[in-house]
Amino acid sequence: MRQRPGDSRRSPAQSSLMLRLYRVALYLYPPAFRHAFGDELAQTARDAHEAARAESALSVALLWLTLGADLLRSALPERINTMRPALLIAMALTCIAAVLAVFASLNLYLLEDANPLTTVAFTASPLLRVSYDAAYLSALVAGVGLCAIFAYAVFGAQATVTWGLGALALLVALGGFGGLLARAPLSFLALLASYASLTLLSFLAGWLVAKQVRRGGQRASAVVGACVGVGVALLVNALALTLHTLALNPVSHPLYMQGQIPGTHLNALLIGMALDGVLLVACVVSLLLATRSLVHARPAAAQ
Amino acid sequence: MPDTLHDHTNPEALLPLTPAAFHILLTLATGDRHGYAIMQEVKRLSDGRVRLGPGTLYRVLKELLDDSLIAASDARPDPAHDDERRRYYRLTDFGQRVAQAETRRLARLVNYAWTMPGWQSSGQSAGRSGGQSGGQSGGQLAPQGGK
Repeated sequence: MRQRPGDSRRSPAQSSLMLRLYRVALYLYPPAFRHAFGDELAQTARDAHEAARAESALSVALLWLTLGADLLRSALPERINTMRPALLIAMALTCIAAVLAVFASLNLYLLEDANPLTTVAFTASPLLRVSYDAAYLSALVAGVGLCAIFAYAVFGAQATVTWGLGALALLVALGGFGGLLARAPLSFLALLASYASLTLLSFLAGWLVAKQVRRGGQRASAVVGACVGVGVALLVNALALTLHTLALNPVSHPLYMQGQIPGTHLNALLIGMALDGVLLVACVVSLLLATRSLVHARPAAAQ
Repeated sequence: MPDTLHDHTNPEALLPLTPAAFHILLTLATGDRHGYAIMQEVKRLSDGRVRLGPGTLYRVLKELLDDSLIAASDARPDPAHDDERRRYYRLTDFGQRVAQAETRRLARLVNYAWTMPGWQSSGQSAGRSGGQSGGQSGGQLAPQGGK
C-alpha cells in the first residue's frame, strides 16, 4: 500500500529498525530463555507492530513503549531466576556495602574537603592525608565495581564489557580528581597511580577468584569475581576510614572540638563505617558460600 | 504418552494460578493458538483489562510448559498466518484439570463474597447476566461436576 503524503505511519524501514532493535534487546534475557523463545518473541512483536501500524502512528509509538517496558519487566526477573540464591545474596550484600562505603566516603569529603583547616591538619599529619585519599579512591573503585557486577550479570563475561568497564574506570578517575590535573599535576599523578594500583589489585583479585569458580558458568563466575573485586575495594575503604577516624578522632580532635567540622559525636561517617563493617563481614560470608556453590557446581549448569 | 514426569494426581498443588496463567489456560481451552493469538484472545476475554506483553506472555508460557499444563502443538490451525517461527500451544489434560480446579476455587470465593451483608443487591445490579439465579447467597457460580 502506498503511503499518502503527510501520512504519519512509520515506513517499513523504520519498522524494520525497531524490530531489529527489539531483537538486539532480547539479549537482556538469559541465553536459555532467548534460545527457547527468542524467535517467537520477535515474531509476536512483529505481529503486534503490524496490527498497530494498521491503526495509527500513535498506536505504533504506544506499542513500542509498552514493548520496551514489558521487556525490562520480564527480563530482570528471568535473569534473577537463573541465578543461584547464594550468588544473589552475595551480589545484594556487596552492592549495599559498596553504596554505604560510597556514602561514608562522600560524607567524609563533604565534612572535610571544603574546610580550610583540614589543609593545615593534613600537612601536619600525612596519615590523615593518606587515609583520606585511600577512602576516597577506594570508594571510586567500589563504584566502578558495582557497575561491573551489573554489567556482567546482564551481558555476561564478554570482552567488550570488560573494555567498557576499563573506559568507565578512566572516566571515573577523571571525574573524581581530574580537576587536579591543571591545579596540582603532581598530586593528580600520585592519585592516578594509587587509583590505578587499587583498580588493578581489585581486578586481579576478582579475576583469580573467577578463574577458580569458572566451572559454575562464565556469567556467574564473572559476577562473583566482580563482587570479590568490590570486596577488596571495600576492605581498603573500611581500613582507610577506620585509620582516618582514629587519627582524626571526632570526639577529641581540635577541629571537631572547635566546631570547625560539624557533626561531632555521632555523625553519618561513623554510622556509615559501622554498617560498612557489619556488611563487609556478611559480604565475605555470602561470597564464600556463593563461591563454594559454584566450585561444586556441575559444568552443565553453566548459566 | 504422558505429558510430563510431574505428579499429575493433584492439580490443587499448583493453585492459585496467577491471573495471566489462568487467562492463558482459558484461552487455550478453546483451541490451539500461537503467542500473538493468545495475547489477542486474552485481551478480548478480559475486555481489554489484561494485556500481556510478549515478554510476560512467554515467561508465563515457559512456566506452564515446565509444569506441563500446556504443550507445544504440531497442529497448524491458522494456515493464513502460518510461519515456521510460530509455535502453537495446546492445553494438556493436566492443564485442563488445573484450570477447572482454579475455576472451582474462584467460584467458592465468589460465592462466599456474595454472602457479605449488603453485597447481594449491588451484585444483582452489577448485572450478573447469563441466567444466574439470585438465590440466598447471590447465585451459585460453582461449576457442576468438574472432574
